[in-house]
Amino acid sequence: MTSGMKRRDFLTLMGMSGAAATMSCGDATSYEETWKPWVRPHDGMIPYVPQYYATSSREAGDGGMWIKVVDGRAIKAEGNPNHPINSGGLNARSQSVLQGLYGSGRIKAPRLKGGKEISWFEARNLLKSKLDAAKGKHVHALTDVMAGANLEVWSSFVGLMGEGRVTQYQAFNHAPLVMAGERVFGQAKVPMFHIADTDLIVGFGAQFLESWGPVEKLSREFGNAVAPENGLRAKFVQIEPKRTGTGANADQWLAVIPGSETAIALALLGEVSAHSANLTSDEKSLVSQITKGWTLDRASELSGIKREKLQQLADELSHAKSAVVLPGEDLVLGHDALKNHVAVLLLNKAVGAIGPRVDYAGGKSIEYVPSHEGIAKLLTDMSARKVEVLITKDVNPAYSLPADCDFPKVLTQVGFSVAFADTENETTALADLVIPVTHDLESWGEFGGYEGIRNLQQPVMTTRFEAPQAEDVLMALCNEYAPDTFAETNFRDYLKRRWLERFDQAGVGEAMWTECLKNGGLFAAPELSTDIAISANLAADSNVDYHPYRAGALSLVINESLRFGDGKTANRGWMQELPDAMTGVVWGSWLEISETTAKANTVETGDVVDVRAGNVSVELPVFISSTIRDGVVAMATGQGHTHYGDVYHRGANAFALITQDLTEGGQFAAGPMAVSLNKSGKPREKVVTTHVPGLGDRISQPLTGQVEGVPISGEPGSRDRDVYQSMSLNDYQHGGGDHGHGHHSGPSAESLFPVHVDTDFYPDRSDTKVFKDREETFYDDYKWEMSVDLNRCNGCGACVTACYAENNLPVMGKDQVGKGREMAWVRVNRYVQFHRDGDEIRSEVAFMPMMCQQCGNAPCESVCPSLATYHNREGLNAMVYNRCVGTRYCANNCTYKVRRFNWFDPEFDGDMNWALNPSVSARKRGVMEKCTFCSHRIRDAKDVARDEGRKVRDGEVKTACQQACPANAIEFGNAMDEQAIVTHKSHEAHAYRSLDDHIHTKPAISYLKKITLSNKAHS
Amino acid sequence: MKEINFNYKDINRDILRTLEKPGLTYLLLVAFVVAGVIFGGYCWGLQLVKGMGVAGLNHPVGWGVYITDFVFWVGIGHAGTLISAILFLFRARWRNAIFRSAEAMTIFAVMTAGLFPVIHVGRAWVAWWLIPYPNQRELWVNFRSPLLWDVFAVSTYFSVSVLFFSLGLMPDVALIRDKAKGLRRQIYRFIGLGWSGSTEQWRHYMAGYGFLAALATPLVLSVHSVVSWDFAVSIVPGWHSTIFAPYFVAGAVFSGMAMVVTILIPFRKIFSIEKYLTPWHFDNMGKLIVLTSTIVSYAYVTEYFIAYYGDDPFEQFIFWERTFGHYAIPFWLMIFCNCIIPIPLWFTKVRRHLPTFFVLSLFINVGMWFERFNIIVSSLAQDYDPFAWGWYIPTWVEMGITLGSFCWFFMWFLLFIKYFPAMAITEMKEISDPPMKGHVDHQMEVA
Repeated sequence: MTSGMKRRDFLTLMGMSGAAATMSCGDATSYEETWKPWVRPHDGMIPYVPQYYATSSREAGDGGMWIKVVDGRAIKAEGNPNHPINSGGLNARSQSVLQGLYGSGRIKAPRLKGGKEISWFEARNLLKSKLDAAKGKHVHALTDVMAGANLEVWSSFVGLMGEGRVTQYQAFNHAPLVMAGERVFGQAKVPMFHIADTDLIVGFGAQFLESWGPVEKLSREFGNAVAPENGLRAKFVQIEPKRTGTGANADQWLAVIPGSETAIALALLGEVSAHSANLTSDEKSLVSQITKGWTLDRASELSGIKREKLQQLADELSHAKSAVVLPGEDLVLGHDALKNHVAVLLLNKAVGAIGPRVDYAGGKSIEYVPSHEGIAKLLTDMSARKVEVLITKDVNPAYSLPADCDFPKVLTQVGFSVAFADTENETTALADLVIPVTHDLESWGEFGGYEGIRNLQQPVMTTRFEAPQAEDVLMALCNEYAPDTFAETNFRDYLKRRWLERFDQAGVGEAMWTECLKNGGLFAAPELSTDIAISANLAADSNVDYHPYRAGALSLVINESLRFGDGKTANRGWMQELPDAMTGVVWGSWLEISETTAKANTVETGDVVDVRAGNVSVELPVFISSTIRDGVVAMATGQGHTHYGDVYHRGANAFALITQDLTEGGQFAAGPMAVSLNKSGKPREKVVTTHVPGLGDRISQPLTGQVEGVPISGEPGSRDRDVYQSMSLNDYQHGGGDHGHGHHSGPSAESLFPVHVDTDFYPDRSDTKVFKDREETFYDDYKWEMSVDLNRCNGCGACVTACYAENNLPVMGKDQVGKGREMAWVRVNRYVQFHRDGDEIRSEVAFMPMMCQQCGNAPCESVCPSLATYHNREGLNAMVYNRCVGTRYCANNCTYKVRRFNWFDPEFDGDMNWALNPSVSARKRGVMEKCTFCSHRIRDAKDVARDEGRKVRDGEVKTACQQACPANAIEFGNAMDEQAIVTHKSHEAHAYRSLDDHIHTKPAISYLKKITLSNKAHS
Repeated sequence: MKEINFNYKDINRDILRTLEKPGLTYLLLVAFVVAGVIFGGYCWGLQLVKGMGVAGLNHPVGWGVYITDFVFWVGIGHAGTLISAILFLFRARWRNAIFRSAEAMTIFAVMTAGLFPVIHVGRAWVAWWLIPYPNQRELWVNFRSPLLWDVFAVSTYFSVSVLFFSLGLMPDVALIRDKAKGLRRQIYRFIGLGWSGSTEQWRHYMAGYGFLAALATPLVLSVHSVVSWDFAVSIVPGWHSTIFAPYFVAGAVFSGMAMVVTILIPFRKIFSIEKYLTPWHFDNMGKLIVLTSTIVSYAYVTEYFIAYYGDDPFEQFIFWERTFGHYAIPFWLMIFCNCIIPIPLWFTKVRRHLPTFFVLSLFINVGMWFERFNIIVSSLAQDYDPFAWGWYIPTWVEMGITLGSFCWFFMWFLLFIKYFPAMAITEMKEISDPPMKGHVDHQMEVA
């Protein structure tokens, strides 16, 4: 410790007694508080045996996480298996919390504006003196959304200090949806959507598989809906101008003119409600007034979609047994958001979805959905010099507020601004005083949200730097100004008391607290959701004067990025290097544009253009895509930072284009906006830095070597590459497919490798006797196999990030990825097929997770001169890193191109080397590496099984990708076990092994073909 | 025109004159190539310290210029043994003037080629793990891997070539030894292995030489066949082809002969030995070049035919892309240099017009380098999974090492011609008129 004062002393000075500062309970903070090597392990800890802490963080949204901790260091974030939202899955962005913890941007010491570091003592004195001066006046707090005890502490502090407010701010919120719920049903809530048991999902643009709502739950349920069960699957129609990663999974994409979504919703509502059995006659007349004048013809004219298609959609909605309609994205809808959501809720009412599928009983109440009205009011106060002291925490308004709010200037009107922050960002750079506080994984707290889900946050390790928790500081300050404000001297104790007071109805006390810590919170099933009548207060004339946005020559839509959200995660290599699902762009922003529109504007992929909307503009490179409507350009949020460290300053900030006008729904107005493009004259930028030439610069061209208009995949033996395969629902229902032999007959040579058994040059290993005159065959107890359901996979990339975290994969950076040197062991292949129907683009998008196939007849094994890779007796294509000389012959010969070579020694940002998984060997330069089905996890499970004198059970080993997958697309298990799920899956009629029919590699991964709805559904 | 028009008595003088104290041009040349070698060494050092990433290689193109260079240099190493061994067995008299330099070229080319497997592996410091020998680590090598076959093929070829070369050198070294003084004499005495030129020694020598020639002959065919199997045994579309072994051998002879021509034409000029190296020799080499060029061209056509006839979509795609895709330039360069450029050599006049021949041979060298580049890179760049495609562009480090390899090769050659007779004195004497006798009309063994 260099400074004379430590975190604990800081708290002491803040008025706490020193003795109480030492927290004591069975949790992680009871460790020694300085980092030192483990000479002697703590009680109950076994070195190298991981411990899991259930907690949550802001990245996790409403979900919960398990943090894997080895020897006192958090090494991986996993989905909380007991959490109603996660059920074990965790999206990529949430997983990146580790890089937030260990990243290079963490603040190490208190400092003044301009960067001068000061001691904790000075910081304390400065803060205290400013607060003393402002006492009784306006001390405001600006925080992320908070709940329960956290909010109580902040409110108490701000209340004690004078007349300030606690303003909660989130760049993205569902305020318009809450308002719509209030209007339509008198329910000021975000409903919980249940989409598992639907037969028709109609989306108006919500990116519910990426960032909208509880994505893990919706992904899982979406997977259940579209995976064929009993020969049936749901249809998904997405209505959006730019095909998002969510829309990519749609069976039908209606590429509408931006701004016409609401017109379509109203027209559909008019059609559906007329014959709906779910509406009373009063409700029907109300709805007919609301939709008056909004006919399909008008919607067709506004949206550019043929009337027949809209009519067909209306009919499908009317006839569907269990349809659900999802609203649009507020960012895309802008001023229309509230109207759209009202229409969508009514549409859900008309199709009978309110209750079973649109669940208000389990919804998220308005108190957790801060609209932008709060911060707008705060900004007004600040401008009027009515704020003496502003304390910010976990927010970055300097980045995410509309540019015309001019937050930096407004902040100068504040007497004194203090940022409680764990990581540098644009806002901390402006603060007069920055006080480092604990990261989410080092803090106590709680998160509220959906009814019945209370997330508890607990520290999983000792703090990386000397830093107090913000709430501890506030409590100390409160107790100093007004002794006995809090009975407790630290936030943990306060949280515990309040938690028990509120939730411990049975009076269990300590045991309940421990149980909640163990579970990561309190999860209780909400009340049964029922149908709700339309509120009598719903204005019937609300759409009379409604004029949708009229698209000019060029309209911009802004999409929320799956990887960056409001920009918080842009300082994380995992997120920067996770390719965008639709374009493959990494480490940068791009302006998506259709080929026709690009030609009209004489721009090409890579041209840097100036996108001007009104009097603001951003500069970013163009990317020509086939998944966007003509006349529309799109960009994503989250890039364009200025205070994240040079390496993370990539692309352009979309928030700069949003205006500070508040919409009817209480948000800063985004929505489609008329823009103009001007070439900036800067040198052409390499946009697509994934090495995907077919999809990068030529995304519009067919990838499979076929002519346009032919489906992505055909039957084996055709001119197709067959890496990816799909089949029509019709064929599936009639038992089509070429792997339908021997259902569930248990694995044998014949069933595992049905086609080639007689013609095999290499004898089938599953029957090979390894020792003469002995019974043992090549595969005895185990042959590990994986099954990937292409119906469930939605391309979100959670598996990719999970693999980075689990297997110590280095982040390579833009230049290296641009050269095709990313180290991802699993990638999500994306195939786009598109054709034009008049002026309308129709496209098919397919995602396919591709990792080492652990071939039974592996091309890589035979060519390795040093035997560094070989087939082991459990069916794994094992890889001995230390034996590798680095000829790269294996990678050349790999049919699936999944082997990764260490071009350089790995480098880790910040302290990310602390998060290395000790179970996986580190690799140095010159060594080949690849997926081995998380062989260390298999080893762990086998150790446990051996100790218990049994074989590994099905489901006992989960690979990292499988575990993270929110959609449950991946199954893993032992193919020698005929009861194993993976064995059943590989014998499904629609199972296939990629490229096996061509080159006979006998992959251990069986893919379940995507079941497409018949072509009829597309036309 | 008489093909052998030198006198027995001039041979010693004329040829040993090449070993005299070098002039400034020679020294400058040596300085240049040594500088090139040092630069290449620097590039390799950079790669060793930083990692393979300084090269342009990527996923999916794991092999690039280094393997191209390897195959190229192994190919160059073919002409020497072909000339010295096979043509010896066929008693082609025109070989006598050129076989020594061609053989030296072989050895230096294989020495150059041998560097590249080590340069191209990710961990050069453990490259010796590819050698099978009993060790306490209980590690063994994979005899199924074509790369291991390479280790044996190339090292065997190298050892036999060196043996053959030093054996042939013995009588000439003895000659130098007899004229040398001091330390030089000691060194040449050692290399000469006590050659005295007795009839007994000549008898053994001739038997041994013939025996080694017979031993080396199959190696000429085997080494490049094995190198070709690096590709043919894999399953990469565009590599996986049964035609590769003969195709590569023909290509190797083609490029090797071209390199001999490239080196000898300036060589005879600089050392004023036009008398000994006449257009007759180049005419014969030109015929071999025409033959091998035709074989190579035929192989190109066959590859395309098989791609068409085999009906494998992956193979068809790769051959289409090779011709019209991203790597079309190397392809057409290859076609131009290897199929079109040698056409004039069908004409005797062109073969005997050395400046023209020299220029043509340069093109052939370039074309053969690009042939290997084309095969290696374009196949890897676009194989089975379209999502995993990627382009490869060599970096300055790779080109620096390539440059260094050329300098390395020429450095050895330049040193060689100053320390050993670049033409076999004894064998030149064999075909010249015997001393003290009148002119004997030698049959022109042109065929």
